[in-house]
Amino acid sequence: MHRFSLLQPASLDEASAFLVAHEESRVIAGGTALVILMKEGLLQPSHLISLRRIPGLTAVDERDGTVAFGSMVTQHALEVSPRVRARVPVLAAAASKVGNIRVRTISTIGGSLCEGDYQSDLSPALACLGARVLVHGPVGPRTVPVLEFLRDAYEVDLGNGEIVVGIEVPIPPPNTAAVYLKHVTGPVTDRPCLGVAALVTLGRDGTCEDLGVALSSVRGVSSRPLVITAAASGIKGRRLDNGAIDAVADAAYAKADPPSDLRASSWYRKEMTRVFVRRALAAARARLQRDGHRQPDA
Amino acid sequence: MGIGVSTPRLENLEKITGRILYTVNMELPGMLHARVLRSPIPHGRVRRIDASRAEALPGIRCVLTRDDLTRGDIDPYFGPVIRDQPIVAIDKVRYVGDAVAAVAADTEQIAEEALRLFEVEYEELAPLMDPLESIRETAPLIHETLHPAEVGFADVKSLKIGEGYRNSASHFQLRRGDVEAGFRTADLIMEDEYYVPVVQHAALEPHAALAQVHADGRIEVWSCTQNPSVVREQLATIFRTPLSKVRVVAPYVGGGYGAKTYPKLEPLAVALARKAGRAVRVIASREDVFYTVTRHAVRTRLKTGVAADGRLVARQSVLFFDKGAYADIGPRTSKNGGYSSGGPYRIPNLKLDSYAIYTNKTPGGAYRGFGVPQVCWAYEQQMDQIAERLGIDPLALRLQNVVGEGDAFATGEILHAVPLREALLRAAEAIRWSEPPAQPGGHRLRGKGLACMIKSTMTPTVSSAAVKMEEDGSITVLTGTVEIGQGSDTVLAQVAADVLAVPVDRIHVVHSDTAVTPYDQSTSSSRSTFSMGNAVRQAAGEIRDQLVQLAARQLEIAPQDVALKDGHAFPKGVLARRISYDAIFRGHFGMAVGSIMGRGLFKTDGGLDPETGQGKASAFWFSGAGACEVEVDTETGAVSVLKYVGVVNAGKVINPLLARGQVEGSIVCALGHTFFEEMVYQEGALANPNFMDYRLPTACEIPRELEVILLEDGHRDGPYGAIGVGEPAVAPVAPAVGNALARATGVRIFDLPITPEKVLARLNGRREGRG
Repeated sequence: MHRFSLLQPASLDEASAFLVAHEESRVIAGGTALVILMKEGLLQPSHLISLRRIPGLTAVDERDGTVAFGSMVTQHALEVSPRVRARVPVLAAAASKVGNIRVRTISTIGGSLCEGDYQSDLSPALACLGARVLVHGPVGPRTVPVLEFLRDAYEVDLGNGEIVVGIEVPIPPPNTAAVYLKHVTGPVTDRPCLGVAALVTLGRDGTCEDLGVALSSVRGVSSRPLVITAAASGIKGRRLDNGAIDAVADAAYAKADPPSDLRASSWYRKEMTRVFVRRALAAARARLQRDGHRQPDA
Repeated sequence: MGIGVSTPRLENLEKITGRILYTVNMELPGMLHARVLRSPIPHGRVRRIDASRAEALPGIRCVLTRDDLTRGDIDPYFGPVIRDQPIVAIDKVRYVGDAVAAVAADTEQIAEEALRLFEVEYEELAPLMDPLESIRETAPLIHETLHPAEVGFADVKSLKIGEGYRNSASHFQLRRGDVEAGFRTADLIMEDEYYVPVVQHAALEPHAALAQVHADGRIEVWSCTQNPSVVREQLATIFRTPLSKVRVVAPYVGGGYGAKTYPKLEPLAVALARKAGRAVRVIASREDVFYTVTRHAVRTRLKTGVAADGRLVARQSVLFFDKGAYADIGPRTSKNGGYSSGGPYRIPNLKLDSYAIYTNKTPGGAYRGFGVPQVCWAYEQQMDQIAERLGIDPLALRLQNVVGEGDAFATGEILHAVPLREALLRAAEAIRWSEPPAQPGGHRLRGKGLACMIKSTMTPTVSSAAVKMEEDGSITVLTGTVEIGQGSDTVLAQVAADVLAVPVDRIHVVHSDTAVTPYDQSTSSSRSTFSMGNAVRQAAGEIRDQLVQLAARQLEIAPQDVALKDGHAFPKGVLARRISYDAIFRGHFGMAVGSIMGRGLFKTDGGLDPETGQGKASAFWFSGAGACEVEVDTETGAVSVLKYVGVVNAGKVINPLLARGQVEGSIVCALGHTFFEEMVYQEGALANPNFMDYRLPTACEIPRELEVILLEDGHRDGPYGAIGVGEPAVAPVAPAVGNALARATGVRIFDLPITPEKVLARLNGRREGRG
């Protein structure tokens, strides 16, 4: 591996300053992706800026109807946190599907987002929850919706000296079910061939009040998930019957433009779009039924 | 004592506490660290190498290029069959990853940095990425000339080196009966092509070697090799040194599966150590391992003639082994695949041809199953296709044709201890073959599948052992067998313990060290229990005979009246008069000194006629069967194995725990290349030389029900009747799954791996499915 210097700032301002001072520097969180890229010689940073000594980045807090995570919260912490499992269980579910236990205990939510890889488990879950990314930088803090933050292939919305410090996730209303399905063409620990998160909120009358479906790996190699909203699929106010589910799946299928890679061809991924949107919505519907929410007609 | 007992592995504690010494942990004073510069292009001439900038880097102690190999003082090529692989590139590079140069430095990091400072100019040649491209008349030659190894193996004489096609490394042919006449009598002729891609062994420990060259020219090497004797012979030839002055030591090896047979990094480590005048250690990175050795891709064309009643009457096969850039042991692998392509069936008319064809890929070598899994994927699927066409149950078709005791194999030799009928019946019973699978409904379909196999072991071979009884009555076993995780230390200790009537914990097995341990040909081909087991049994028997004589004298009874038990000798039936082994020593030597030595030698014979492939291919035969039930998700094409049953003939199970472990390991290994594993080449380069993109099975992919059945049809020449169990469970897995998939859905996959995409594409009626 290329030689580099490790910097361990004690504050966010110091970290930002390091980033600005060293043009070829990179922030390292867990390092599960970054170190592989460095080993393969694809990245050769002069400095690695570790966030490990900066206090407060591993917190999970609940405030004003949101759950806020520090960027250094690991996938494993997300997976097992009682608060996450109670408030945004879909995020715990998605985190539990990432790689294997060794990866999950090191890999962080912030690092995972900043990697900007299209084969992501977290990004569809965060996108369908409407998560916001909290950024710290030389020009002060700002908040960016996750869908805007994830810009393109390995490209995220971070300016010079900016660092992701946290993620904010609105807690979904009570009559909501959200599901994450990961489809692999390899072992269970493989990167997803396709990841689908689906969120359904029912109104008092049992019709669909809100619905969001987000998919990874179907917008070329862009890190930005494909999102199908209730409005876009004409589902709002309808019962979530099989016809409605098919309509959403068809909308996703029509918009999917997946890449071909070692895990699957574009054709296969596109076919799976329809299958897994259907399965995710059916699973969400089943969960609502199980939890005794007003029955949509199956 | 202890034969048939599940003795836990002797090295368990050392391994699970992480204290075991592997080659990668070994150090010598003043040791340097080496890295290898690898070719970025698949095929080309090396125009110029400028190492001056690398050499000038502080901390670099030695640079190795072709200039160091061509001074006439060494023979810089290696290879067990054809000496075609240079220590580093001399005139050409032949695959992406081929060794171009090497450096030795104070640290591994400096060595790595130096690789960037080499300047190399290539004249690129057209890469040949498939045997079918290589055999074209217009294809460039990958090797302009071929030099067969002078110190060859006897069995390789049945091969035609460099014959058959352009870019051929070797051709094996087998002729039996009259295949054309056979096809004329057939009522059904099936003709299909099957393909298995290049895969990796993926042993946890990467290749590694530590070398030192002394002032007097003596060479010492520590290496994670499976056959130190072959490495020694090759180093002696390269560096023109007597065998006695080349010492190769194999510590514990962290997984072999064939990848660590024959020279790999050892010649390079020695060449660097020789030039540097210091010890040099080289450890392959995971990427380097992908560029070291693979399992050959094989394209199998199989034409089989069948009578309407199901009798197989003729078979013609043409096999193309994708050799990669260097022969390694591939000619023998392709020979093995060649005569095995008739399958475990009585077929009177055979015409089998197997070619090893050079391509511009990582060399193929030995891999668990040695050519048989690739052809079994073909012949066992075709058996089901035949059964379907004739409306015969696949189990019945196999039982009708399968070989058994006293039948002739394709090579004409008479088979012994091949309980294939029982293996098939036991597998079928365990999977409840006669009952249709319970269909879960919806988009899930279930089906059951079967397959069986037969495989030879390397023949002829030689194994020798020495056993020493120490003055306290404990036992030292010296063998060239390498403990590669298969449990050979434990099994050989059990054999010695049984013969000498001592507990296993009184025995120490010394690891392979060519300066110390007697000759053994190789820890491969699942031959150690059979061959070294016999040698150790014989050597221990010599000690037993001496002990009995000494004890008889001291007990003042006839030798035939002496019994041995728990480290004591006594007159039969009179345990009270027992004397301990150390007391026998003191009685004999007058004090607690001395040792008693025993020698063992086990040699097998055989050989095939190069024109007909007739003769004796194997000292014993592995046989086994597999059966499974799969569930197919027809919306995604995903196939999951609900239950798998592996049946293997062990001859005699010496250690049930370890034998089961071997069979379970074989099955999981095979599930990997059945479903996921494939080295993908794009534009001449390997696209996935890492464990992120080269996908291996995990514990989660092991079927919920995994059943192992060990048969004990004893072999007349095996110790206690035992043969090997390391490989036979591999080959049936892929075809059993393929057959179960076909029976569940009607979809048959001809090219591994069975990916969800291929299955879905064919379910949807598409011809092609990638992935």
